[in-house]
Amino acid sequence: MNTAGHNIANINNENFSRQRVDLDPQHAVRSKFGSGVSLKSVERQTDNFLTQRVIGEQSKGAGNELEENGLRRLEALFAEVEGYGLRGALNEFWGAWGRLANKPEAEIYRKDLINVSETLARRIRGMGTDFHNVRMELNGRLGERVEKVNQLASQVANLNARIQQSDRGRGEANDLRDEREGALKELSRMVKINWVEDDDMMINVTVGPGFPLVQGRTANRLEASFENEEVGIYNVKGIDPKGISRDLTDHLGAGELESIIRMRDKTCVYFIDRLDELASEFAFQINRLHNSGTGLMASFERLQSSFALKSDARETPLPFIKDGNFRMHMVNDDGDILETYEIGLIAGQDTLESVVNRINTTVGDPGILSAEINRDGSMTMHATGGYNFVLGQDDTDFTVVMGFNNFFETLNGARDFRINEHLREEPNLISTGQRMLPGDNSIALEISQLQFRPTMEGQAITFDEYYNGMLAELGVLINRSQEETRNQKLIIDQFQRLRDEVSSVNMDEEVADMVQYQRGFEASAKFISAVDDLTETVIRM
Amino acid sequence: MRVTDLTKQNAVLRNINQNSERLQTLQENLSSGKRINRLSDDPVGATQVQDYRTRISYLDMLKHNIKQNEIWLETTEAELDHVAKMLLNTKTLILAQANDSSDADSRMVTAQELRNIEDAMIRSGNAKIGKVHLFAGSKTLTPPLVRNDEVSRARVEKENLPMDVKYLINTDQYKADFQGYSRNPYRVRITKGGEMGRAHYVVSDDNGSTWSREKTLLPMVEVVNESGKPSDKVTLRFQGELSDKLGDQIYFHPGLEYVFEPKPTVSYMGNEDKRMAPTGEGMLQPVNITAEEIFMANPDKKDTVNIFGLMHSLTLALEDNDRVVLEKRLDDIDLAYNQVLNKRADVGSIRKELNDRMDQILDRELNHIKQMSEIEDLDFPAALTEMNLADVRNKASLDTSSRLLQPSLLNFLR
Repeated sequence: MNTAGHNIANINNENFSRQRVDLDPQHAVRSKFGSGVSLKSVERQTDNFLTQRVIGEQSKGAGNELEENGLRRLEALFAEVEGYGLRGALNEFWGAWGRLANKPEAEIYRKDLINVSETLARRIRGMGTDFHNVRMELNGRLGERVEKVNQLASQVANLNARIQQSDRGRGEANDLRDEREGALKELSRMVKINWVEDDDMMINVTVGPGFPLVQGRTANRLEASFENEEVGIYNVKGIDPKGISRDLTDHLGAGELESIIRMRDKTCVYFIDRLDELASEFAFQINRLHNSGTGLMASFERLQSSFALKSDARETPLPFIKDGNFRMHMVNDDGDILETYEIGLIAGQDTLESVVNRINTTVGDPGILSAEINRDGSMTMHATGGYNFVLGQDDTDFTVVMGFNNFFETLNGARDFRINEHLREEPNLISTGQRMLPGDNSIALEISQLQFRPTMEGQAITFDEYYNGMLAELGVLINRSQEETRNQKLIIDQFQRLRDEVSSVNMDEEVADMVQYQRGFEASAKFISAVDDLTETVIRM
Repeated sequence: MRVTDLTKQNAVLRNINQNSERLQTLQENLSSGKRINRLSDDPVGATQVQDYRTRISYLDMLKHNIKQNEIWLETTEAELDHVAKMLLNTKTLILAQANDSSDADSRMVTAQELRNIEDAMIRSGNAKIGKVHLFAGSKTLTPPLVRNDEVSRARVEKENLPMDVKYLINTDQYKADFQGYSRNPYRVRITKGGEMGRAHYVVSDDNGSTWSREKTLLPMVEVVNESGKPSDKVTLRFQGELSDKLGDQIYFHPGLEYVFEPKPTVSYMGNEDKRMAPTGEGMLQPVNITAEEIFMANPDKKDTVNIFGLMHSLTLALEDNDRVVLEKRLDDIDLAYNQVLNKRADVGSIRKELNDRMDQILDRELNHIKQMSEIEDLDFPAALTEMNLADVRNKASLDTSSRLLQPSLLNFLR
């Protein structure tokens, strides 16, 4: 009766295994008659194989689920379907260039372009930062999860000890085992585990390539440490009793820990890299067109490079420049070109210092135009003779590399992508044409046509296609992960059902048992009262 | 199969969950009207929709530009119409003056009218929208047509003087101005040395190849080579003192030359750049006409006229009361008129081209919107049917669940 009551009380406990009372007839001792029944034991009804599978499949299921959630976070960041994402801003950006190309003299289209470009830069920056935040959040969650693993491991070790103690006295150990299975299940969600039960009824758990997480009564610790090459990124280490640690970061097999690490180091990094590449290439392509053009009646008396070189980099050849010429024009107040200087550069040879020298010797008169390297490593060109200068055609990319009158500026890709401040202050500096002709729209046209020009991945695909590729990839990843989560859930459910068939409690059964015991009790009582009657009869005799 | 309470419970929960998940998706789709609400709903479809959006945004830009250019071309057309009308007007005036019934006075009055017309033509050529000049090529912020000064300093050349004189004399004392316009590179050369009124000169109107007969130098001489081109009414005027500091009369050395820089009445200061309007992917449509094409003679094309030159010579002829020249140049007025009409026709064909492009763009836009809708929009009847079905299924599962979960042996014992 007690056991039935226990079973019924645990009817909704998922980890509970129903218990059965094993009865044994009491053999007669020197008598022809048996002496009734004895309670041999109370046994758990379990199927070890099923329990193992239920526990084992948890890691994959939990990992998939977490991955899907993470991917969905990224998906939300793209926000493309509603048209408010990066792609929408890109469309606006190209449109603004197209409109400006149609009317390069109109200030309003210049201002419009600045606004649209700022929105675009903000979106690119925001996306870069958001991706990074998702990654850092995953990193934080890794620390949390590692703590939880430690907690569960010590729980298992604890239970091991108690089971071993009480297994001799039997009884209670059934419920402790259920509890231990529950803890293992939870642990298996976190990380893929292998476990064996030893002769002392204790379960030993190993993680990854044989790191002993639980050894009998003792639990070893996992630790999230900052020993990664990347600052602020956790590594997972296992520390055994002797204090020797092992790096387990890439060897966790499956489970939430592994999913977090994979999302953090593969998926997130992949998308961050792709976005950075898009941002850098985008800025570069726009700038190289923009920098060889001139704006609307806007010229420079002084122009400083946006980028600066460290002192040791000044004497090494400038990277990314090509052989060729870049040109500068001296202009008067009416925008008439008075003189053109052509400065020839040799890739892999010219340093910032040699370029400055070349400019100064080509011009030949510091009273007209001079170039110099500033203390902070940037470069300045300065017109001194009363006439201003503008940049001309540049086959060398020198002006882009150093950032002379760039349209967009970025050093690290997406996260610091911004529009050149000077352009916002003076929209007339936006290059639309060449040689100071106000109605010339050649540069603006070329920039607006970049939209359909293959520029990415070895000039094979357009910016839009590249970005689409990112989107499609993420979409497909989500779909696949969704599918896997669903499948894994089905598998777990299936095993859970099979396990439940064996181990969980059926109310009807228990009630029937109760009725049976009750009847037995009633019958026994009847037997006793019959014996009582007989005894009374005997006494009365 | 052993069915336990926990399995029952799990099965029921799972079924209900599945049904409500389906219901939720359908509800979301129905309320947004879209089949694709998230990237993962259909990755390929979602990116296709992005592409269509980009195309539509691009077409939007083209539409905007074409509308802008429409205004531009309308103004261009109006100005050309105006110039053509003025030429017709000129022709009527000249026809009236080219017969014997009109006299010098009425011709003088007409000359003034012609000057006004010429001014109006320059204004038309310098027409602008906002601050942008229509007919200036790409130098759009400066007026393309500039009237040249009638008076210009004569360049004194002493290359043909004998060595000793060449390095001794001061050319400043031979200061003189040309007055008038001409395309001819005139040269006036002193042939016989002497003071003013004594010295002799000859004139060339082809930069020194042929010369006129010898004449006596006077303070104001008409520069003309009688055997060459007709007179441009260019005069050479000596402005300086005719004696030097010592009071001696200035001696004009034989070989001294005065050179006239050919100049039109009106110069074109713009350039030949075409304003290219994007009208499609890789398609550029020039939308501007330059004042040079309208008003100036093109040496590579016959039957083209410098309209300002024509106007000027007509004015001069009227002032001179020269009927013959007026008659001679009537044909040129017709040529000028045709020249403007040709440009007017060019503008017309550009407008037609843009119109055609606009129709194409609208067609394509509609097409894109339709295709986009096919991909991302919800098929409402199908979705509603499915919704009903899902609803029925959900209710059925709830109903059966209540039957499955409730009864237990307990309910039936006593």
